[in-house]
Amino acid sequence: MTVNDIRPPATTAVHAGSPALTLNQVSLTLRRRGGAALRLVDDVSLTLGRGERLALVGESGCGKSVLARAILGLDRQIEVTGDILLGQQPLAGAGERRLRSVRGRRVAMVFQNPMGALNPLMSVGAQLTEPMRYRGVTGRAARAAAGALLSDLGIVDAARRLRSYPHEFSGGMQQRVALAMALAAQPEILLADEPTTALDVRAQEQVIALLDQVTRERGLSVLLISHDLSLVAGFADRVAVMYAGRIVHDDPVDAVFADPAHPYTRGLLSAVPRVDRAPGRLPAIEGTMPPPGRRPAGCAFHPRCPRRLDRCDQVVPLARPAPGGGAVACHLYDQTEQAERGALTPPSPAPNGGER
Amino acid sequence: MSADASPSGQPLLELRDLSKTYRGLGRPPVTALDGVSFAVPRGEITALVGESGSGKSTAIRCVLGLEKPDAGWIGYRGQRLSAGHGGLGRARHREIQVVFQDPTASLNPRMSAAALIGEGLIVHGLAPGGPGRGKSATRAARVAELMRLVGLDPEAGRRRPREFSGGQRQRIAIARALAVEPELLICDEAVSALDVSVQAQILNLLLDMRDRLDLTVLFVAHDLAVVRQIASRVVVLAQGQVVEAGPTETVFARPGHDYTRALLAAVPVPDPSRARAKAAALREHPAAEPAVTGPAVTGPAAPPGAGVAVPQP
Amino acid sequence: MALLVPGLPAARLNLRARLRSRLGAGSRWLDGLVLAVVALAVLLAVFGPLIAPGTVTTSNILDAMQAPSAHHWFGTDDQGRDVAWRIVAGARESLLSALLVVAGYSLIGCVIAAAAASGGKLVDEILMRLTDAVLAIPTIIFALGFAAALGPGLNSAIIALVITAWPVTARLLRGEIRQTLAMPYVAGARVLGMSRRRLLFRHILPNSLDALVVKWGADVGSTVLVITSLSFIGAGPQPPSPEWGAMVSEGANYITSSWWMALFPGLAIAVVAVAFALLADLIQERMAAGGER
Repeated sequence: MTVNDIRPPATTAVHAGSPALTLNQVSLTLRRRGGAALRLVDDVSLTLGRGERLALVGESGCGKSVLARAILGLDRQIEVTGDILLGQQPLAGAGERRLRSVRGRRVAMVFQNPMGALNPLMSVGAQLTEPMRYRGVTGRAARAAAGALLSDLGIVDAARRLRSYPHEFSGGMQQRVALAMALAAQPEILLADEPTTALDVRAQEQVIALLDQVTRERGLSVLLISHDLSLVAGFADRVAVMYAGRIVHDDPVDAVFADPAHPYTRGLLSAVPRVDRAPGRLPAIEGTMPPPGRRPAGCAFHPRCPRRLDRCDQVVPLARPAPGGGAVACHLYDQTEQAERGALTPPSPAPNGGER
Repeated sequence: MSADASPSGQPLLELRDLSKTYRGLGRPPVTALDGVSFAVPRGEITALVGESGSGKSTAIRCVLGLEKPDAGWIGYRGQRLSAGHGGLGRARHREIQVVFQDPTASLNPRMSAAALIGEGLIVHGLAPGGPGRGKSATRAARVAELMRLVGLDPEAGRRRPREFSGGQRQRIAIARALAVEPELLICDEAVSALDVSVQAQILNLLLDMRDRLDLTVLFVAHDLAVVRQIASRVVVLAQGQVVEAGPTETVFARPGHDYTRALLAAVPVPDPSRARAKAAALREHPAAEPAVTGPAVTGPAAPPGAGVAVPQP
Repeated sequence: MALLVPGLPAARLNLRARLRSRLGAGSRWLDGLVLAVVALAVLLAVFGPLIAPGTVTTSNILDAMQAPSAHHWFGTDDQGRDVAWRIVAGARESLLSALLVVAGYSLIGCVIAAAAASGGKLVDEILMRLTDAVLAIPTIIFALGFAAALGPGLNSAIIALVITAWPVTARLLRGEIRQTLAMPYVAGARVLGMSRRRLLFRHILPNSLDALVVKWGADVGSTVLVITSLSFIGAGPQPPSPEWGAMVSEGANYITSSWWMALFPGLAIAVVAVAFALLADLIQERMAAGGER
């Protein structure tokens, strides 16, 4: 174990060239039959560097899943405005043909429920060799590659297991197979939408370790979506926090956990139960996240925010530079606000202090 | 630890040698429970921890009378818990209640929140008064009281479950269970389906109930961090057997069984440098599958209510 | 046709949705129209023969084969009977009997389903195999056989249809009940300690009947089609009954000359069948909005 294993990979890796994936002022609207439009995601801008691991974190209903799905245009009834760029290639509003050429081949996705991704009627081997055809690999070569992929992912007796069907595997194993399928066409980018939520804690650890290994080996760029902050701590280079359809905080992982710049991130971290913390009541954020369509004016978090300012209920905060090096959308970091206060107001002490 | 001994010295709930095997047609039999024994002391939150397939849900269903065990003994306040036909004996319904995992599927979608919460009052004839079995002023007042107790606005009583959020639905479920004033509340993964901030609220609510109502809670969970936060005792279940049991602090600080150690090691910690170090260590020495069978740390002979000796490594 | 092709309510064909999208925005009136037609049909079914003049069954050769006019809106048939009034009178035979059939086989189906869902593995197994066996009987052929045995007419048609149609209902309801029983709220209700009666009527039944209610709407329409078909081929009510299928059968002989004799009864059949199918879709939409399982 070297010092490189403890520092985040980002500080040692080189993000060469243009970003792998760019989202620029992306908004997603759901148009319903009655005509009413529901804004699910509002003005989101994100970049994913080559070889970078970005965790997109938020609670259910914040829009993180629908945003990931919009990259691949999976929900046709969602209107997309703004730019989604794969390298230099625009994806937003692309036709089905172009999206299909991208799906699986350049951008692969792993979902929460592995049984949803796996066809129960096809053998695992058949499903693995299918995406290989995109790369022109067929027949015996494909089967050999599939077997190698399976044993890479820790499945013993891989050649024989190619003939098995999905239901013959446990949940953790199924997720490995789903991951293998995602990797089979050698994509550049992997979107992982809550890949471990349905799994037990040990299986979770194994799948994350697996994700870590294969993305490291192949230099993949990863967008990991999760509601579990603890889970992404060891995996991500950067964490983007979503609340009520917006990105409110986007910082390197160490900064997010050591001294969270945004009050919501801070509240979220305090509310996470920890094995290494003294038992008792958790500091919980009052209230709940507003669903789409019922978001308040100004900053959507302001009704629940312990550090609310006067303007928070009127003006939507724009992204400002955060102390950690990233960006934070909070009026506490407005230049004028800081000037008024006369000094850089440090946020309250880190939540990690004081436990056993 | 004095927290183990309840005032009467007797645990509220006790399972002894509980066994259950499911036999299906054309399938190999599945042993869900294999001689499970543990005790739940009064006035505390005891966690029943295990991965899927550990048998924790089956154990709960046996206690609630939803399943019939093949062998073993379940005692409530020292007396045998009769598993009636699909339910507990009449008297026990008021003493043992349950909150399930899925907030949506736990509530009849056709009933209003107030009707759901008040149903226990009707069934057991609590808070009577007013014209017959129809609307009752006392009952309405009690329902409003319960709603306030769990942090819901009584004005919302007329709404149906689908108009509430997941966390609010769980509060309705808790209020519904508390309406009959139970002594023992069984939470079957009650917070597993909730978001972090909502989960924290519900956990705090349970702690409140323990303190204010002297409620005993049997908390089934797979999340060890949650267990650490609210449970004073923990029972670890794997493959239908009790692997380890004892005060939470002790078990977590000095786990006596490999399985427990493996479980604890797998819990993610929200600290990036530690997590990275852990991942690196895992890369070099991949974890071996711990053996579950073998001498359990707590045998069925351990007297209920007493502390469990954790052998020093 | 739910009787002949079990499990294919017109609702699945998205008929109503497609019609509404064709008609564009503001097509709410379609729902109103559907309800109006259904209401009218049911009214006629109940009161039809009471308001139709006696001339419906008596012959009046002098007026035979007259084209539609102000006096006879749908013309007259070969016996000189007013076609329009015959349709009104025939509503009872066609539609009311359809309602009776649906009620009949639904009742049997519900009883069997409830027994199977609550009776334990052995009872469930026996009843389901019985259901499978009866399901295998082909409806129309059985009805023909019945007609041959008991003589053609409304009674034999109704009995035959009830006998062959209950299995689909039984299967459907049993499945719905089993799904409801697996829900945590049922377990929670049992733990709450309520009586079995309360459990059944408050929690289990209301959440299990959704699919069945939708099916009823579609079934009435398709049963009308089946009954009229039976008459057409000679098994159900026969001329001189004003039953619509019988009317079409008679009119078929004169289709090239007196086309109105077959057309209007045929239209009546079509309109009623479609109206009920759209009704089923309407019910399904309302139920989906009003409360899911």
